[in-house]
Amino acid sequence: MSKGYVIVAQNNIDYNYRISPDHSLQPQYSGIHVDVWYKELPYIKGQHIYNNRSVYKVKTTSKPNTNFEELDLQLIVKNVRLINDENTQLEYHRAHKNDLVLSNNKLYTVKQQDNKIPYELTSIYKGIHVNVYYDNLEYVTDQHVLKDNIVYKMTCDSKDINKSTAEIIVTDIKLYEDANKSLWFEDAKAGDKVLYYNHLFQLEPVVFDDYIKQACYLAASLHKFNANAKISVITNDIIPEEYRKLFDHIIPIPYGDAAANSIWKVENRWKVYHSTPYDETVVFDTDMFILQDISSWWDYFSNYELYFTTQVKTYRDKLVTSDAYRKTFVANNLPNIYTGMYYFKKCKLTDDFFDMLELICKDWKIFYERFLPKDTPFNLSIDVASALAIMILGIEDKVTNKQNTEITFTHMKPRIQEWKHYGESWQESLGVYFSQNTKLKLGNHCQFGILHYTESNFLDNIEIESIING
Amino acid sequence: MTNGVVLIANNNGAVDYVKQAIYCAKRIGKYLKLPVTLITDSHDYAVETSNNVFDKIISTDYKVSNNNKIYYDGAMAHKILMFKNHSRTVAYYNTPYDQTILMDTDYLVSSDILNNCFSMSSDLMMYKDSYDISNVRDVSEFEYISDKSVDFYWATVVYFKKSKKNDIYFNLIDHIEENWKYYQNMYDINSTLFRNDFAFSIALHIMNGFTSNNQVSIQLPGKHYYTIDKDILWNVKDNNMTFLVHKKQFDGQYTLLSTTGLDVHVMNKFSLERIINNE
Repeated sequence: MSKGYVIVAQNNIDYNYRISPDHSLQPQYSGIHVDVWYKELPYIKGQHIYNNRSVYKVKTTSKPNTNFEELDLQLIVKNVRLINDENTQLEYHRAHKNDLVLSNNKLYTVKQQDNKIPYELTSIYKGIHVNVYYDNLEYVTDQHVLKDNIVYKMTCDSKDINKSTAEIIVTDIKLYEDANKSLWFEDAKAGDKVLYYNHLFQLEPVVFDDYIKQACYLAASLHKFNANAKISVITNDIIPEEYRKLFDHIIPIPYGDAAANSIWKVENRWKVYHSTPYDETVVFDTDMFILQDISSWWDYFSNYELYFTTQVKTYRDKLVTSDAYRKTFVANNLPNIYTGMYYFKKCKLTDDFFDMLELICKDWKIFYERFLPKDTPFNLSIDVASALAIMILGIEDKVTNKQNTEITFTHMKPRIQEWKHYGESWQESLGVYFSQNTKLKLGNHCQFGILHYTESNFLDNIEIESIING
Repeated sequence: MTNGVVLIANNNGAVDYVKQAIYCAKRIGKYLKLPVTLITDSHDYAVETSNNVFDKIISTDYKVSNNNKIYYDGAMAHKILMFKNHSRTVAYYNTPYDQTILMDTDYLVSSDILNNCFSMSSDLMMYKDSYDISNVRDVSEFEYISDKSVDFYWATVVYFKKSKKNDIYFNLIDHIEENWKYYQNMYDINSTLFRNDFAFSIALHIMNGFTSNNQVSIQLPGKHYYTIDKDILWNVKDNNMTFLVHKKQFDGQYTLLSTTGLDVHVMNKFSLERIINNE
């Protein structure tokens, strides 16, 4: 009988997310509120509006759907760069020191420039040098030139760039940065192609929840304390080459990706039963960190066909008694199971469970409406869905043991730590002390067992190499 | 094997801890039938006033403490007084007994339950769990020494035997007391007040490998009942005690409550002194 650990990991990527610059700004035109112009809106006399890099004052009240050219306006100031607004879909500009900018409806000059580029730049068209177009300069054959967001390659020597003098190489290129700071630079979002100091790059998307990274840390910590552990990861994302060795199997998500557009990435979790390469499997959430040898737990698990813990602990090693995150469970009398770590072996009972879980995951709204009338969750939760499957099948006694408080994990959600005062993040309240020999202290407390850290930036405290090589 | 109780009484000019110790010792003699040793910085006064109630009286150096705290006398009156609670470990180094119960002078014994600790196997026993006699107030301040920190153990009653482990434990408490500012910061304690409960708790946490998994001490027999200093000890007759328990939302209003056969930690020193004076 093969035994192993399986992790389902999918990165959470938002291609539309824009990271605003963090300039230090000096207020200008004090007291003036400037609205970005939208054709659909009416504007009243005296209102200030921004459009096409300029700020205007409305001289005559206008109706909705009036073209911009038809508005009666007084130009207040030109060369205004839009850097921030509640509408992230606007066209933004990159600003430099002393530039006049519009940020959240107020005008400023840039006092101290934020030079950071919040994306990774991946080179495209490597080795190609692209010049920015200037009027009246002559361009020579084979030279690459950016004009009006298009990169051309000159087919002859010419001052003009058009179809007869140049061929189009690539379109939709934003001028992102150049040695000549007097140019207008466009801000860009993940996935955009940009010209950055005469070279072409693509901005890599921001990974909000790097579940692959979490899976690698989890696997590394498992190996650290459980030398012969077999670990598989189910993912469609790329595992960095240097960490592929942590996994015995890297398994693609079967039956299509049902979580492509979701934030929590739980829609594929029922597939673990069909994908596991092991006869007996322990499934982990990615945001778990192992701090001790848990190999002996297999003996306990083998008494069950499917096993969930119902008792999790605080960082002070106390059983969690708060139901702060379990309102749905309490209100609807669901079995208080946790899926951060659970065990199954392939058999009829488990087959039935995962069939039911599949149905719930696919039509969770219908199931929630039918079975969870009180404190109904707004999202698919795998804890709730699994508990519901257990309740519907009537197998709670077969898959849990309330007396067992050892086969469990430490749950770090802040509201269940028996604290009087807590913030959004438990890391605001507790120091994290990680030693080279993979010992972890949270506040005054050494940690053992399995830590469900719940906050991805927890891993910023730990070098994965120190686990792998330590 | 000799068994006995050690009390520490360092007067602060306003609260007569020696007088409390004499009263406490009489109750110990009555209910536990154990000899009592007093460790005090008021040796001569203790000898004069104790009427041989003590087995031994050991003198310690007089120290002025910077530790000031509010002493309530019911909900409506309080004084800020010097809190001379330093060097509690002196009991470990100076006890004349093989098995010792170290006890606060405001712990009123009304039963023989603590005698059971002499037949138990652990060489260190303390109370972790405690019970407010009102049974309705928020007791969370006695769960942990601070909101995010370690388990709270009471230094009010401590049983110990001399052992290598306890040598380390009491040495560690000394170290914590000497470096209190550091430990106060380290363990997230808001008050600058040094409390033996905190030092004993921190030392226990460290001895347990910085975990809550206590392998160093066990719970003393019985339960640790207490009344806060906003309550008033109203009457004591043998093993019956009557208290006026402060109503939290209504300062100056009290609920009458009595106990029989319960050992109770009475934090209102002034009302205890009135009872003693009326004996």
